[in-house]
Amino acid sequence: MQIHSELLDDNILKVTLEGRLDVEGTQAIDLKLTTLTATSRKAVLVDLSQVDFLASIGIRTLLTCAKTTSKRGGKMLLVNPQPMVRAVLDRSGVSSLIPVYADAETALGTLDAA
Amino acid sequence: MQRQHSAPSTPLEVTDPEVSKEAQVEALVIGNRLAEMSRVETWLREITIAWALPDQVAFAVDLVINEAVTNVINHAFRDSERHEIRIAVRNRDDAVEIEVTDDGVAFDPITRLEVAPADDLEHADIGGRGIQLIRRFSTDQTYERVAGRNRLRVRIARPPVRDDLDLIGRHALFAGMESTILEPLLAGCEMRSVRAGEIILEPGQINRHLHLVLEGRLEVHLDRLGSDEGFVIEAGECTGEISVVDCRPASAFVIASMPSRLLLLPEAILWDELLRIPRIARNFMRLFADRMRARTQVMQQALEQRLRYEHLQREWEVAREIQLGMLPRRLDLGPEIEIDAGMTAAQEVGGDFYDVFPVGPDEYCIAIGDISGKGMPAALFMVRTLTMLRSELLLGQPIDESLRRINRRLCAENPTSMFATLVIALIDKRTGVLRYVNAGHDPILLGDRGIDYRALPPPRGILVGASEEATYEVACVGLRPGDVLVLYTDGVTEAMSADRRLFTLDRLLECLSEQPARSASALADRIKAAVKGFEAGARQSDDLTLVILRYRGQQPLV
Repeated sequence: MQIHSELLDDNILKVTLEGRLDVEGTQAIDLKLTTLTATSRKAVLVDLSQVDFLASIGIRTLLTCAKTTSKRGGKMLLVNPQPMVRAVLDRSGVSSLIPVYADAETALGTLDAA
Repeated sequence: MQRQHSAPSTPLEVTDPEVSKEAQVEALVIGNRLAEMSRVETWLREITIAWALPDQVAFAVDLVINEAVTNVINHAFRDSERHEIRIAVRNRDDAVEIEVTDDGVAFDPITRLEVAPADDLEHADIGGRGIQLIRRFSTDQTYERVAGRNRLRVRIARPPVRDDLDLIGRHALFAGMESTILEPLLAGCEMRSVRAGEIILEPGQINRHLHLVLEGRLEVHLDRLGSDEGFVIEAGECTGEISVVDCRPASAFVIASMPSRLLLLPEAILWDELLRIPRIARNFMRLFADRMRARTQVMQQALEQRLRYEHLQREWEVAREIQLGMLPRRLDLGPEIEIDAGMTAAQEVGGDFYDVFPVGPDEYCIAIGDISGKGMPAALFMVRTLTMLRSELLLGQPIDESLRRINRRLCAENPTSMFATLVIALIDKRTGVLRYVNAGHDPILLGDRGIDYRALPPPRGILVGASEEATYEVACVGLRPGDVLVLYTDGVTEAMSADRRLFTLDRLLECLSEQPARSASALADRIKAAVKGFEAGARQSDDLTLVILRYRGQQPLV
């Protein structure tokens, strides 16, 4: 499980996750992702295109980090999930709590509009 | 890797030996540590390749096993001992079946409540979504506690193949939908072929699927299988919608009336995905409304039928009352003759009757009879007989001639071929002379001074309504003061006990001779009580009629 991050500008952080968000994978990135989202920012974009498995343990981490971001005045956005990962987000109810977008441009567009 | 090809004793094979011959089964035993999950991952990856599982199915199998096993590892064990968890998967034509067994504390994940959906992030629960995911990525789940073990079984249906998509797209639920949009929505749904006569739902069954009928036809029976009350579900319609909507067990039998193909939509997919699409939501509401309308129609028919029946029942009751009203109730034959007459009617309209009326200054006619059969025809025949009896007897002709004429008239117009047995007696209250005729009825009983009872030999004669040529003989007996006459119908002698024995004439004679009665009505009460005691709660099957007469003779003038 890999995690990369890059600042798109001062206020928007893009985090790219890669691998399986199962027990082992989530443990591997949990601390790093929590740390990254703990800083006050306008938005955190989580790119899920390289994530090919998502279990409830991964959902737990995503929700915790989204809550943290929200408390610091920011917003977490999920971007470009694979179809089955998208199904997990929908069927677990996560997609109604954290917005999910097909691509980064659309996601960033909503930020500009807001 | 601790991989094993499962032996025939594994639970998955025991349940369905027929299929297991062909089905591929793999099993893995792991320890109760999260670190073991990587072994599970490797094992599953190999199976996915070996069985060439479609991506959607492989993902769902992976997810369900992940959630089920981590749940067991995290929550099932209260001690620090090492435990084993067994995971088995079976590859079938239409589905992949998963079984997870552990010896932890009893825990049923299936009936557990799901996380309440939250409207916003702030109020949302962080965890508890694992069980929800198991449910939403599988078609069926069952939990059992067997021999101190938890056994969770989950079935993941293979999604409909491309060939089925056209068929599915033609269903009314998907009217106006592009099949390209449809395909991803159908992951997690199951195609099912059913045989003619196969029961799909039965009352009380928990149903978590909307059943779309793609081909064939189903029948719904509201009360019982094979009843006429029900309706048909054609291809393009659906069933199970009500139990999916109100989350209560199915309320009717649903059975395939011919070989049919169904698409089973799990309720979670229906709610969370399909109904979020406005067109599908509208189609669903339309199907639902059609179904409600069909159901209402069936209920209405059932209600009408009941009202018709109740109306008929009331008419019968009125007929019964009219019939009973024709029988004389208050009888006064002067001081010489004490009389009690009455009929205890059975539930159904029966054919017993009696009559007592004066035919001259000192003479009375006493009659009793029984129509063959029951119901409305018997009642009508009885009314005719009774009317003729009165009109013929009042002509003043000999009693045997009266009976002969009554018989001829009844024979002449007897479309339903009914018969009656009948006794007619004329008593002269001054002399105590009794003349009587008998058309196949039970004999008159004579109680000498009200003590010693015997049956009077019946004069020759056959029942009325059978032969136009019938003739009747007259018999005669002189009554002495204190003598008692008993006329009865077979409702007395053929009263039946719970163990199906008959009351019989012997028992009646015994009952009469027990002790002299104070009055005619006391004697009648005694007989009725004896019969009732004999029946001991068994249903009275026939009318019971008694006419009891005590001759007191000429009373001295005061």
